[in-house]
Amino acid sequence: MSKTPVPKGFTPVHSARFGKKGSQKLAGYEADGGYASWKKVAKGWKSGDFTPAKIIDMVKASGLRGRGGAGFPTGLKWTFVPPKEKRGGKPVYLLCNADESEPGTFKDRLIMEEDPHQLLEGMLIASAALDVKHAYIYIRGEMVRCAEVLNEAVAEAYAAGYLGKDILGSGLDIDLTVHRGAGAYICGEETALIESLEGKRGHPRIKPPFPAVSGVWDCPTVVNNVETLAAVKFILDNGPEWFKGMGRNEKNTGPKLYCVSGHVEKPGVYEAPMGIKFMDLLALCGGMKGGKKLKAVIPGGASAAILTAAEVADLPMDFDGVAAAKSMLGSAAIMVMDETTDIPKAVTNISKFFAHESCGQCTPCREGTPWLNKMLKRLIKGEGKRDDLDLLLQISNQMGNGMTICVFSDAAIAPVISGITKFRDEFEAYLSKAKAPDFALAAPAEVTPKVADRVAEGIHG
Amino acid sequence: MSGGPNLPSAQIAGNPPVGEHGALSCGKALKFSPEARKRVDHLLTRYPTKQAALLPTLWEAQREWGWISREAVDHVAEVLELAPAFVWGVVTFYTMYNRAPVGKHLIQFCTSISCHLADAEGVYAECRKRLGDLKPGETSKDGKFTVIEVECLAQCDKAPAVMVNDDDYAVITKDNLDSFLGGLK
Amino acid sequence: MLTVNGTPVAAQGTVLDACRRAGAEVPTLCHDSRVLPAGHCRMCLVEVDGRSVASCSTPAREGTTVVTDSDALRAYRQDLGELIATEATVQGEAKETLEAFGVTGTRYASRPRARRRDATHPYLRVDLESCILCRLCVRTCAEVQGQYVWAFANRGGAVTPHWGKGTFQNSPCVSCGACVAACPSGAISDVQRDASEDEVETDSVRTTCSYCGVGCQLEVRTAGNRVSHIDGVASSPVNRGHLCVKGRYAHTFARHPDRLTAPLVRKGGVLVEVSWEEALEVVSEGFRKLAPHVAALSSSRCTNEENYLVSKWFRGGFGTHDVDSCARVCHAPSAMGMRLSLGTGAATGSFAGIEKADLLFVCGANVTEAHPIVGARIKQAALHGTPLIVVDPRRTELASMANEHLQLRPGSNVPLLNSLAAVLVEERLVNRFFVDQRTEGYDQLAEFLKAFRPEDTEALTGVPAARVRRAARMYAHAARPMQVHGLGMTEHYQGAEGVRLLCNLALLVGAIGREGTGVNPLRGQNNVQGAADMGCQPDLLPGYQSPKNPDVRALFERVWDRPLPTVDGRTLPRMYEAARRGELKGLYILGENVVQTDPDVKSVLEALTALDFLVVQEIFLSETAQLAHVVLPGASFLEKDGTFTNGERRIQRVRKAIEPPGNARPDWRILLDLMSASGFPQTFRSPEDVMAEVAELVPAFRGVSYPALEPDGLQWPVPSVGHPGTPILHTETFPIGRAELACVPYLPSPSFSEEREDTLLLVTGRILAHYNSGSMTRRGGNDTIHPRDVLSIHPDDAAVRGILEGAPVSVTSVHGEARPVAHLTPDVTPGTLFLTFHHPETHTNFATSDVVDRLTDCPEYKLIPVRVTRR
Repeated sequence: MSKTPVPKGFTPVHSARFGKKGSQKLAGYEADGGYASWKKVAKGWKSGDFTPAKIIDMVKASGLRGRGGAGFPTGLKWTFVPPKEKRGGKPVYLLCNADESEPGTFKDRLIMEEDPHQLLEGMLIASAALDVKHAYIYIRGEMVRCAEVLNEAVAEAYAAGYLGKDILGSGLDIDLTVHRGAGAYICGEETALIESLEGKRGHPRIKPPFPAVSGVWDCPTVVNNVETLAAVKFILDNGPEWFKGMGRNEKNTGPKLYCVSGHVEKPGVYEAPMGIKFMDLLALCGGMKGGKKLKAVIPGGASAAILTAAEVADLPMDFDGVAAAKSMLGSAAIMVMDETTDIPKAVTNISKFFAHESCGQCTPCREGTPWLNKMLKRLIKGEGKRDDLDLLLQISNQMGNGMTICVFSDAAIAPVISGITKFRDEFEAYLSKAKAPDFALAAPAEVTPKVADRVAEGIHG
Repeated sequence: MSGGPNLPSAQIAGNPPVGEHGALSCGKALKFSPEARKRVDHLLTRYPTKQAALLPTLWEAQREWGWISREAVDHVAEVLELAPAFVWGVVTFYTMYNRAPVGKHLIQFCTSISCHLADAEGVYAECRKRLGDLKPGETSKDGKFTVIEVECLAQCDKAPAVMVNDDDYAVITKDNLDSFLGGLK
Repeated sequence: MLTVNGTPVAAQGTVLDACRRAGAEVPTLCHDSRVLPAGHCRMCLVEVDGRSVASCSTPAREGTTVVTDSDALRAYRQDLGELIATEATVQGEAKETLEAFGVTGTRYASRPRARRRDATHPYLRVDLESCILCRLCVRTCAEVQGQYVWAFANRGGAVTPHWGKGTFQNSPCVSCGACVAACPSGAISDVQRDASEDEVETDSVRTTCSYCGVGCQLEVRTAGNRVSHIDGVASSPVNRGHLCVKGRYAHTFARHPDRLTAPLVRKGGVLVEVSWEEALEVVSEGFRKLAPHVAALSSSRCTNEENYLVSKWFRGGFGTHDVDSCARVCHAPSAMGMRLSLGTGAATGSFAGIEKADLLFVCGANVTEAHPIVGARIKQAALHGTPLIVVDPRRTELASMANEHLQLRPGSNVPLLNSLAAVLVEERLVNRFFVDQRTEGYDQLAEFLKAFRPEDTEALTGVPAARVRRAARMYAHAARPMQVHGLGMTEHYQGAEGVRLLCNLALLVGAIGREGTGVNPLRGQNNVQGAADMGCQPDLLPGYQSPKNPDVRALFERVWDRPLPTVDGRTLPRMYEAARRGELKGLYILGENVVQTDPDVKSVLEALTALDFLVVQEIFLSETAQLAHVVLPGASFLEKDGTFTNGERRIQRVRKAIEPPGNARPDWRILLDLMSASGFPQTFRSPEDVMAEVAELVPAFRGVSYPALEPDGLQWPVPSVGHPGTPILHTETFPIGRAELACVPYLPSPSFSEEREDTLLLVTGRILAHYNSGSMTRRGGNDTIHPRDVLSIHPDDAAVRGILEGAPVSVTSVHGEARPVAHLTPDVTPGTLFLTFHHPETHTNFATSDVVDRLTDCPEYKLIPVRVTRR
C-alpha cells in the first residue's frame, strides 16, 4: 500500500505506520513504541495509578465520537454500562465492530491489515476500563486475509503476555476472539451484530434495552468501531488534550481517516484532522479525475444523502458540518461523482444494494426496499410512469423516521429522496424517454440475484 | 418429536416436489473429519454458548465440503444441538455460504456504488461473456469458474474490485480482464 | 399517567397496553400476548408526543401524549397495507384488518415469491402464499411450545417461514396448534376449522380438557350439535391459551359412528338394544340379588359428582366398601406415600411454581408427551436457564435438555433416591433449621443412609456416583427446587415407598410449603385426583375420611340415611382375585377399558368372565364392554356438566357443549336413575346439587360451589365459603404435625426373579398423540400421526436379535405376549425397552405382570423382564 499525502502540518496518527515493512508484526509495532500505553495501564493497575474511571475520563475528555457512522460520544456510551454491583454477576463484553460493509468504506480494513496491533492495544485498554474479560472482533466475512492478519496478531499478543491471564502481572484477565461474519451488511448495526455473534440471523433488536444494559448473551455490552477503539490507544499515548487539539471544534475532534473513491485522481484512505474542508481533501486526492467537473458527492457512505457540488464547496467534513448540510459524515466514505455521472442510475444502483441487504423483519423495509429498486429500474429502462417520482417519494416517506426497528430503511431512502429532489430534471428526462407513458402496471424485472440466492431459488426451506 | 413412523406424504395439486424446499442434498451423510472436529471443539471453548459457534462452524463445513448441503446442515445442527430448520435459516440469511457446489474459482464482482462508478457492471457482464456466456451465478462447463455479483468489498479505491475465492484483486477492467482470467489456473 | 387520545391512563407496560386500556383501537398483525413483542408488522404505529413509534414494543412513559389516529397515521397505515397486499394473498383476520383501512389492492407491482404448500398433516394446512411474515408461527413455536419447528429462511423481500426439509407431517411438529391459533393471515390453517367454515358457529362453551391431569381450559366452538373446533382459554392460569394435539384436535371421537347410542343387554349370548327402562331394571335387579357381593370400579375420566355418586351408591345402596378407581393403577402410591410422609396425598404446590422455581427435578415423568402443557412450561423454564435434573431410564425430551440426566436402571428408584439423600446428609447440605422445626426421624435416617453412599449403589442403579453427587448438590444449593414426578415413580414394587423418598429429599432441604418448591405428582388422568377425593377407594370415604372414625361414620350415615358397611373393602387387584375365587359376583365398571389397560390381561379376563353379572357404562363398545351383561351408553366430557380436579388440586368446571348421541345419557343422570331403581333414590336434580352435598360432607370442599368456581376454579382445601383456595400446602405446618422422614430399605422387585440372560427390562407408558386405551384418540387424526404401538429398543440389543427398524416383533414375558413393531433408538439404554399400550391389537398388557406395589396394590408396569424376538 502506498502512502497517501496528509495536510500540511498534520502528523499522521492511525496511518503513520501504514505501508511500512513488517507493520503488522508485533516486533515492529513494539519498536515503534507500541504497547507502551498498555504496559503503563497494566503496571499501574494494582497500584491504582490506572483505574477504569481514569481511562473513561480520558476518553470523555478527548471528545472522541464513534467512527462507525453514528458519531455517538464514546466515553458517554461507556458510562451506560451498569456498575458491577448492578450487573447481577454478569460479565461485560466488548465487541469491536469490524463489519465494515458500508459501500465506499475501507478504512477499518486498512487499520486491521496494516497495523492490527493498534486496534488490539486500544481494545485491551477499553477492556480494562470496562471490566471486560472477553472481547470479540466481529469482522466481515469477506475480509478473509484481513482476518488472518488479525489472528496472527492476536496469537502474537497472547504469546507476549499482552492477552490472557494475569496480564503483565496486573491481575487482569482478558481474552480476545476474532469472529468472522458471513456476508450481511445489516450486521454492522450493533444489535444485529450481537444477534449474529450469538449464532443467529442478523436481525436488529428492539431498543430498549440498549446493549450497554443487555446486549450479547443478555449481558452488558459495548460495541465500538475499529477506528474508535484504535483511537483510544492514541488518546492514552498522547493525552486527551492532544486529541482534542485536532479538529474543527470541541465537538468534532481528533484525527480522522477519510475514504475517498469515485472520480478522483488518487482514490484512497486519507488521514486529516477532523473537519477538513471537502475541497482540501479533494486536493489531497489529486483533484477530479481527468480534470472533469464535480457534479455530486456522497459524503458518508451509501446511506448518506447526496450533496451537490455547490453544497460541498465550503463543507467541513465532520459530524456536525455534514449534518448541517442535511446529510451525514457516517463512516467518512466519500464518493465523488463527476459531470458524466448518471444520477438516476447511481441511485438505482444504491437502491439495489439496500433491497438486497434488508434483513426482512419490518414490513416497510422488507417490502419497500425491493419496491423502490423495481420502480427505479423500470424508470431507467425508460418504462416509467408519469407519477412514479411522486409515488417513490411518497413511499420513501413512509419508510423512515422511526417507522422501523433500526435505521436501515432511513439509510435506504436517503439517496432516493435526495437524488430525486436535487436532480429531478435527470429523472424527468428518463420519464420523457418513456416508451409508453400510460402502460399497464407490469411486474418489473427482479433484483439481480446473487449466486447464493440463485442456486437457492425454490430450494430454500 | 411426534414419534412413530410416518405415512407416505399426501400430495396436493400445485405442491412442489419434496426436495424443492430443503437445502440441496449432496447424496450422502456427512461428518466432520477429525481435524475439522478438533477445530470446531476449539471454537466451542471461545464462546459461552454452543449456538454462538454456528457461523464459524458453518465456515468449517464450507471449508470441508465446499458448500452447505442438507446433510451439512444436519451435521452442524447435531454438533451444536440446534434445530436443522434454524441452521438453514441462518445459512440463508448470509450470502457467503454456498448453497450449491461452485467452480474452482468463485469470481465475485463488486458492483456497489464506487465500483459502479467505474463500470463494474460492464466488466462483470463482459467476464461472463468471455467465459462462455455464463448466466449470473452459473458455473462454466469445465467446472473452473463461477461468476457472481456481490456487494461492496471495501476496496473502493481499487474499483472495480474483485474477489476470487478468498483473495482480493484490484482494478479489474475490460482491458485487463483476459490477463486476470489467464492468471486463474 | 399518560393520555391516549385525551383519556388519562396509567403508564404501565407498553404504549399498546396503555392504548388498549384507554379503549383506543390500534391495529396489530404480529402481536400476541403469549409471546414477546417483535415489532415486525409496524401496523401498530401511533404518535407519542408527535413521534411515530411502534406501540407494541415501546414502553409507556409518564407524562406522554399518545395519539392513535391522525391523517398521517391513516395515510401510513394505508400505504403499509398496500405493501402487505403486494406480498401475499391475505386471508383471515389480517384481511379484515387491511380492509378496515380500505386496502383492497395495491398500486405496487406484486412480487413473485416462493409459495410452499403442504397438505400432509392431519390438522394443519400450510399455504405460504397468504403469509404476511408476522412471524407469529416462529415465535409461538419457540416461545410457547419450545419446539423450534418453524424458522425463517432467506433475507429481505425473499424471507419465508419454513420447517426444514420434507413434508410438514415429517417435521418435528408436535401438533400443538399454537402456530395455527396465532397465524392471522390464513397461511397456516386449521383443517377442522376450514371444514366447518360454511356452518354457522352457534355457540362457544368453556370447559375442562379430559386428556390428562393438567386440566387445560378449552373454548369449545360448536356448529349445530357438533364441535367445530377448539381453542385454548388465554386467561386460564393452567394453560394460558396453549393446548396439545389431544386437547385441541382429538374431539372427533364424539361424533364417531362407533359411539354407543342405546343400552344393550345380553340375551341369548348376544348384546341387543333395549329401552332405558328395561336396562335400568336389569341392572338394579342384577346387583340387588347379588349384594353385598358386588363392587364398583369408578372412573377417573368422569366427573367428581359422578365419582361421588358411585361411591355413595355402592357403600350406601349395596353395603359394600368394594369401590375403587383407576387411581389404583397409577397414582395411588403417590397419594399413600405423601399421606404417610406429609399428611396429605396431593401435590404440595401449583403449576405456577414452574416459573418461580430455580431448579426443576423431574423424576419418572415424560412430561412433554404425557402432560404436554406442563411439559411446555418446564421446557420454557429450562430454555430460560432454570437448571433441570431428570431421573429417567429413557432419554426423554426433557432428559436431553437436562443439566443432569440420571439414567437409572429400571427398578432402582429406591437406591438412587436414597443415595441422593445420603449425599445431602454426608456433605452437610441439609437444612437443619427446617429439619429440626418441622420433621422427625432425622437421626435414624442419617444413620440409615450411611449404607447408601452413591459409590455403594452405583452398580445397582447404573448411575455414576459423581453424577449423583452433582445432582444432589444442585438440588440442595437451589433456593426453590421444585419436584415433579410421574408414574415412573409409582408403578413399582416399592412405588409408595419411592414417593416417600421424594418427600425425604424435599424435607431435608426445606423445599416444601413455599412457592416454586414441593413434591408434585403429575396426575395421569384428568380426574384421578377427584376420583380419590370423592372416595372411590375402598379404605376412605369422600374427603379421605376413614369409615373407621366414629364421628365420620355418624355424619355419613346421617346424611346418606343408610348404614355404612363394617367389612373392609377390596382394591381392584383384590376384586379380580375375589372374582376368580367366586367371592365377588357382580361388578359395575364406569368408563374403564381394563381389558386393555390393566396388567396381566389373561388374569383380568379370567376374573371378568367368572362374574355372574358385569355392567359396563361406556361411550364405545370397548374390549371390556364386549364382555358385559349390560352396556349403558354414557356421555363424553363434551356432553355433560360437572367438575374435574386437576393435578394441582384445582377444581374446575366441565360444561356441556353438545348433546350426547342417540339415546346416550350423561353418566350422572344414569347413576341417579340406577340408584333410584335399586331402592336408594336421590333428590339431586343436577351435578350442582351433588356438589352441594360433597361440600357438606368434606371439610376441604366446604367453600366449593359452582358460583364459587368461576372463573378459573379453586384449589382445595377450600375450608369455608368465600375462601380463595390453597395454591400451596404445608406452609406453616403439616396435617400430621411434623413430617415424617422415612427409612426405606431397598427390596428388589419380585419381577427381577424372572430375569434371565436374554431378557430385557420392559417399561410401558404413553406417547403424545394417544391417551391410554386410545378409544378416543384412535378415532381421529391422531392415529395418522401415530398409527401403531412401537417398541423402543437400543440398536445394540436389536442387532444381537437381528431386528431391523420397523420389524414386527414379539415381546414375551412369563405372563404373555405383546406384538408391536420395533423402533431402534439410543434414547433407551441397552437392556431397556419402552412400549405403549394404545392399540388393542398390540396386546401390550398381556405381557405385563401381576407384581404390585407393596403398600397400595398399584401394578408394576415399569419393570417386566421380557424376551424380544422377530415374528
